[in-house]
Amino acid sequence: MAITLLFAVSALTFGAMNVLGDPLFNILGPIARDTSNPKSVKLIEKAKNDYNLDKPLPIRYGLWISGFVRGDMGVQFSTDGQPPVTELLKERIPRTVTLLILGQLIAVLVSIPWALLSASRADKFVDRLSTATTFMLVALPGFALAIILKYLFAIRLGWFPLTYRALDPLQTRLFQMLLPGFVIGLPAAAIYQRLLRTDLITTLQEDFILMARSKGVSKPRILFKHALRPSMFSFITVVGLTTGALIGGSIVVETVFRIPGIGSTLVEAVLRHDFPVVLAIVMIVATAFVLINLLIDVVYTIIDPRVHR
Amino acid sequence: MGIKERSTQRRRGVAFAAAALSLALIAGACSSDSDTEPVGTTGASTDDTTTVTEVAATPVDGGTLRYGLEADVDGLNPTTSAFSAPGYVMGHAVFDTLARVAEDGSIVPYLAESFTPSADFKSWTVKLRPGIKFHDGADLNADAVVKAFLLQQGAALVGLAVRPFYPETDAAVKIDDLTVQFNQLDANQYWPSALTSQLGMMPSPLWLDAAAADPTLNQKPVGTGPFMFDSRTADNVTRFVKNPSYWNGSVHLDAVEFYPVPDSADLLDLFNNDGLDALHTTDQTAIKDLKDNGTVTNLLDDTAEESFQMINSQNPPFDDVRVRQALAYATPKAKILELIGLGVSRPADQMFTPESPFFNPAVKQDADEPDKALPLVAAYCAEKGTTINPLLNKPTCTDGKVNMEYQFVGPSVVGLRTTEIFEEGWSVAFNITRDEVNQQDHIQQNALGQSNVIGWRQFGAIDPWADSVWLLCRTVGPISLNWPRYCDPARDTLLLDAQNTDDPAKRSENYKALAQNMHDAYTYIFINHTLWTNSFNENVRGTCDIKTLEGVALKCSNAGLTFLDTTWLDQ
Repeated sequence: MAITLLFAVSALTFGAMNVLGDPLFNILGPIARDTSNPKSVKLIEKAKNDYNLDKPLPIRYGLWISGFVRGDMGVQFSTDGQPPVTELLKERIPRTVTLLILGQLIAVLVSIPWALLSASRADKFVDRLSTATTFMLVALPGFALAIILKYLFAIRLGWFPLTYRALDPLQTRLFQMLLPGFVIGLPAAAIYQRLLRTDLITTLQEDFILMARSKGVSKPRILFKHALRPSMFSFITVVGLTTGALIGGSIVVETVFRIPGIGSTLVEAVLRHDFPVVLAIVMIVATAFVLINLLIDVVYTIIDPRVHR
Repeated sequence: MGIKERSTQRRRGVAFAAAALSLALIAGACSSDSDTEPVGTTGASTDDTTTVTEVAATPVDGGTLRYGLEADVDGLNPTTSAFSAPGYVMGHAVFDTLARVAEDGSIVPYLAESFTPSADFKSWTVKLRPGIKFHDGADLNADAVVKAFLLQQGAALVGLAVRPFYPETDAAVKIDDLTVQFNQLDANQYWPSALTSQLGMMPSPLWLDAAAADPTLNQKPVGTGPFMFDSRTADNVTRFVKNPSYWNGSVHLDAVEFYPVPDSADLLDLFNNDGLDALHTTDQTAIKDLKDNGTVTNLLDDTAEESFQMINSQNPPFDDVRVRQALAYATPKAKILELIGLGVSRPADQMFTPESPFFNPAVKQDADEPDKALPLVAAYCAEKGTTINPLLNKPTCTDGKVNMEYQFVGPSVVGLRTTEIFEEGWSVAFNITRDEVNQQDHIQQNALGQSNVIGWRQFGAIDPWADSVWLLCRTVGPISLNWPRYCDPARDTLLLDAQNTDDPAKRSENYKALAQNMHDAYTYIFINHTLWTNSFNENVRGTCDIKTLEGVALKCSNAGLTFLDTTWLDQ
């Protein structure tokens, strides 16, 4: 099923990329139309050959997909010696993955205690305040949050660096990603908090919780030991599903904070009509999405063995 | 501590659009001599207004300069890559040019030792300084120069700006190990200025060979310059380190790092918050802020680019001068200057600034008179209103107004607001279809003639002869550098005569006539002289201390590019 899905995504994207626009023009620019000049004609022939543009679309797709599964994602549309797409993405994927992990980590670490706090004080002032905050975070567009946090914490307060610098040591680069990580993580944390809070409130009304209370188990122990685990089911589902959305969010965040990851690369590639790069990133994101959801299925079975049965 | 405020009027041959096609290669300047002395004065460069308050200090070695650029570049190979202002800033750190512009505007030999013209000024012999080596150990010699030139001439896009001026064969000929003869199609007494720009940048021949086999090396330049390539992460940071054996004196900085920051507000934030030591920008708001900051050194220059609306005269309806003239009359120039220019940049009427000896005071850009547009459009529509505008694929007139497309670069809030103001003015006589495209498409479509009217920036070559690439009949073609695709043999005569006279009065007369000719053709609607700044924080010193081996002081900044050969950090 997953493989079929990936094939469908690849075929649709490849088709769209080749139908919308002239690949030859995107590679060579005006030279592609300069057919009266023998030098230009040579370049046109070379480009057609290099990018298989003289072959029918299905053949080109076959060549591309077979290269992709072997790790050869083609060459960027450029005559200036840009590195192959695989090399480009090898450099950029780790940054995006780090940013996403950081964002998810922040989201999970913020949302769980936040949800526990809200659930334990349901319908009280703290809960209402946190509800208002979550709605605000969810409603706020990513770019706005990015700009607000950047302005407050990087420009006004100077607590965080303004941008990412690829040459810095790992520790410094991780610190540079912290603020972007919050931009990605906070809206996700708000969603997780809402879900977990609701599930926790439901769980806290279960008989076994009443039993624990009647046994005199402390409130924190009830929350952490008894209520949290059975309330995590939808939380984990959403964490998995949100990862895809976070990849989308990284496009904005990487652009605002100048992190050269796959999000910002995708934006630049779309603007440059650099189809091999767009295709490769779309496929990688789709594959990641499928794999994460497979992983979520596995985690389900660990949390609730009934799923396995 | 140097506090410096400069308003300079200089000419240079880098254009915004030109950049994309490396057209600044042919930037020119005056020269009429042939020795190691300055070879003439830049005819169009005058009247630098400079107020300098600087405390002399001994340069300190060490430190890394962080420089903010308005964009990144595709590559750093001068024979294949299109150098825009950011490309020039980075390129000049690694590559030296055969000639440089002196502080007085003259063109002086740099990597070259001398330039000698033939009697008819169709050939120039360039003698190189001996003993200069590239960063990879290769010698700078005639073979290296010929190789670099021929590669540029043959390059698909970069060569577009070179080929109109040189014969197909023997354009560059080795005379001896250190001497090269350049042969041109036309006599040109001011040719050495071409060697101050991309055409004059000297890359290592070994590196060029390696880059031909492995194009990824185009990102890792090797030249003779004050800095050597260290590392590059595209769209993030490019780092060069000190060349310890630089041939023209010692380099003070340990390294220089270039950060492309396309958003000018971000660029200014980084600069103001210790994220950058220097930057360049044309953003009017940023320039205003930088000028108000008393601790910043601003090297300002509004002579090297003109901002204008450009009209493609090849197809209906703009093949008729009445329609072009009507568009000029309807242009709300005053409003644009007030609302978009913020009073920072100076209005322009022609391609020369008022300080230039070529400035024609009689030429005034027609604009802000919409009433005059109406009868012209009415007459055109009555006569040719059913002709098809091939770009829009519909009649040239509807409801008594001319149908046109206006193309601008986006996504850009400023671009959109500017467009809205233009549309408001033009709409009295024109029905406008907007076409918002990215910069690459903007340039490409314009090169192919797929436009009616567009916003554009160019002109301002060090010497105006180099701007002829935009104006000559010979540069109209399937891929046209004469973007309006307007051919006037009388204009060609003015241009070619102006570059082959040593009589300043005659030159001035020709270029003044050119300004009038361009005005009367109505293919350009001049708006303002584009203002560039190269700005440095107070700890950055010595940028303007550059000299040739002979001690001639050189210009340190020019339309967004600057040289970091002698820059140091007061830590």
